[in-house]
Amino acid sequence: MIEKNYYSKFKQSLDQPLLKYSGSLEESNYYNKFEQSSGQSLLKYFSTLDLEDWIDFFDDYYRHELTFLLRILDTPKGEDIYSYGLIWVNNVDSATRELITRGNDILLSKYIVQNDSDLLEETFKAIRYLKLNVNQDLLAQIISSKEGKPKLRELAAITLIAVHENSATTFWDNLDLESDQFLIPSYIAFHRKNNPVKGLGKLKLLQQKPENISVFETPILYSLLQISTSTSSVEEYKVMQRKFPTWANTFIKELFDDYPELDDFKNKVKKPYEDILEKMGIEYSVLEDKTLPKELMNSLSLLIEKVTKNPAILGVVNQKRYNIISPDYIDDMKIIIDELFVAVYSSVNGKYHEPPKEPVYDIPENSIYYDKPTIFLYPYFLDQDRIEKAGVIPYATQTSIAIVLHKDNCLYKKWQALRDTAIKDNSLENNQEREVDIRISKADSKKWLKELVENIYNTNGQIHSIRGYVFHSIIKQFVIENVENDDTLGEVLKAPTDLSIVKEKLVFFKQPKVGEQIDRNSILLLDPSDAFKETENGQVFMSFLQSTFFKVVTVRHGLDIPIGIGYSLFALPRLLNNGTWKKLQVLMKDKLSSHKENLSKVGIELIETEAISELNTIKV
Amino acid sequence: MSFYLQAMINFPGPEKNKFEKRINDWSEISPYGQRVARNIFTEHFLPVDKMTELLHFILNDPLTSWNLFEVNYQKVCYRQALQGGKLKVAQKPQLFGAAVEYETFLKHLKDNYPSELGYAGDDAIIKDFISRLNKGRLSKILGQIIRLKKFSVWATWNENDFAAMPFDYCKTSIADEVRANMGLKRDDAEKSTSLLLFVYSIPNHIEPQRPTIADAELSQYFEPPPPTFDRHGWTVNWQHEERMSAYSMKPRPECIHDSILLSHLKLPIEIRP
Repeated sequence: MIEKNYYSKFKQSLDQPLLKYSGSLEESNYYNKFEQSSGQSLLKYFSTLDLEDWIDFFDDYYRHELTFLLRILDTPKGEDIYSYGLIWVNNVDSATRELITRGNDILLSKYIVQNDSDLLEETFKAIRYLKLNVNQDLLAQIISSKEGKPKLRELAAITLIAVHENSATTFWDNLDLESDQFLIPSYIAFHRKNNPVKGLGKLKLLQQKPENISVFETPILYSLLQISTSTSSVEEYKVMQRKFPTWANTFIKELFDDYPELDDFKNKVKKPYEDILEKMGIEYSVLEDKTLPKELMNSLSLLIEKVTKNPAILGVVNQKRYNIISPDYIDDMKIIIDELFVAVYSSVNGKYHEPPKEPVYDIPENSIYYDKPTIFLYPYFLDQDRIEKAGVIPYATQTSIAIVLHKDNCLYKKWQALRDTAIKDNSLENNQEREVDIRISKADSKKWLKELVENIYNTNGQIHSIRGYVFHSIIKQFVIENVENDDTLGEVLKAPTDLSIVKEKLVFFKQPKVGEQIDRNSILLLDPSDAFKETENGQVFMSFLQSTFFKVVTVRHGLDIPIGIGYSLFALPRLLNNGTWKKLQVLMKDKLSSHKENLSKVGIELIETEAISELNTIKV
Repeated sequence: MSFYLQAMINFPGPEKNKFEKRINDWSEISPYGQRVARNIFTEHFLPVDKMTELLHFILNDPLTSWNLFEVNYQKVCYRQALQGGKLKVAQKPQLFGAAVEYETFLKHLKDNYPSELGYAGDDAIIKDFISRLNKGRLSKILGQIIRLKKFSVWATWNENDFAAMPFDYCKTSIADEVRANMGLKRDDAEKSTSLLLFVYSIPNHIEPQRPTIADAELSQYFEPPPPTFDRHGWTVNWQHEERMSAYSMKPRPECIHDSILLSHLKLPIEIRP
């Protein structure tokens, strides 16, 4: 496009009419002198010209009247008199330059009166090139004239800066830059040495990206280089930059790529983690979002740490397609999960087109899904084992754990005593068996659970759990946080048992043989939902439970395990951008709100309000 | 047969004599006339119809002032620029080279890109810009805006290897060696400014042309190649002097083409003192 425009201008230049001979051709005085100066150097000839000669000389030059100038200003192959001619004149002595300056003042005044933009533009070129110290009031008059053509006024401004670098600041301050925005690059250029922050401050007037952005490049570049030399200016700039329009900040970032001399400045103004976030395609505003849940902020910290240590994983982070794991085994949440699937898919992978779902029953922590961008749609419990490689968009917290223990276990008796006391002290209605008993305080619950673990240590009991659930991990986390001698846990905590063999393997479900002594010191960890028979597994567990010997209590563990839409760390960028996480969180909170009471009974508390974290900060 | 003779076939005998007298008169009173007269009879790249137009102009222009005549001659040349036809070479050179005086390039940038580069009174910004090109750096935006020259560019290439650097022939790193080979103006050398060497690829939409007397207009250091040679132009070297004995001096292949964007440059450019 640019080349076509350029070429059309070139073609126009070919259509100049030939001169017509008018009968008599009066030679100008400057040409007479040239003819008489035969054999002399051109500079010597120039020194013979007086003010009138120079006025005629430049008037002819600006008007493209080359009849006499052509022979004076001989040009080399490939050049013309305008690209080359004044190079000769630029070498004149100071007295001659002064004459030329006065002559151009006179021509400027004349052309202003004639209101001839073409001649003025030609004059500006010569003034800039020859650095003629012309009357700055004349230039100021053109710049300020609201009736003048914008291009002419802009060129006058550039010319003023070129020949009067220290022109009055008040003149520039009085310009109406709100309406004459084409003067903003000149304003920035003028202030680039003495007050670059002030100059760049005018960028905020340009909310829309200007059509011709190239005119901003060097004014901004030299302003930034100047700012870089002063600590206080850098600090001022950091504050001011927040008000820059988006295009300006993007443009300045591009300048950082093109100009290594800005590296020092870039380092001074760089926000923490700006580069790495950019490489992951994460908007910087995410870091400044005070509503970002701590789970997501923690994931971001971990991801930044991983990328910092091993930049090669950026390839995984920026992988085009995200995996989405859909739980086809949760029948009662099918509608919600299906809706969530569409919302997640369209947010991270583009337009939804019914891709094959990837139903998975159990994703172990060493699964390859954690080594690529993956989103888990089933209620994802962010326990301690997962937190290094995954996160959640939280919509609830898991507060409780169901425990199967022998009715003669002393801790079961202690539990009953706690309940009895709680019933007396609490006006709340009695809740159902195996339901989370909120009448027992969190502190008492934790204390009881701690004692239970210690009792197992002391009696050589064992802690069992079911594979595919997180309670094996939750009890570990509880012990680490609450039990002093946590090393013993490894001896008593058994590997989770596969669901298909619990009835054959675990004492809690096996019919005891005659005379067999039943282990009273071991416990089984269950999901409160299963204990409450809310789930299919729960129905099975409870129907096979040897209820003659074993009881179930559901106790608050005090850990508040986040539950939400799960993701591998590599899936974080697209969930963070455009507030995607927030939309998905709202969707799930909305869908689950009608289940609030039932969820509460099984130890799941929905997040009530907008999860506004205390000022989240990245910790790497 | 030269294109001059082919064009003259259309002129009656007396016209031919009149033309020759006129060009003879011009060459006697003006250095420009001498340059044109030397070349017009051997020009053979300018198409015959263009040549005829040029001859008609010289023959029939009614002006009695040679000054006016020369201005008009130059305008006629503008109209016939870039008409010499494609290079007749086996393979289009991959790299072209143009030598431009530092001061000329500086003025070109200052005149034609004032908003981008032209507002520093001491030319510091333009000098920085050229210095960056010399360090191999050019911003994306300016590379897509700024042209090597306003109009056409005279260029050369490596005649031995179309993919090789065009100025590889130099035996010294002295600017005058390039000037002497390319037929640049000697006065510039006397002013002791630097010479910029640009190497670039020419984009497909620009076709390098064989140079003609119309492209050369009134300038020195041009002459059409020998009548039997039709592949490209040849530069006209400076007349040899003793101080040039270290130079590798001979006519180099030459063409002319529309200007290119700086983004086509092979960076860094070279600055020869």
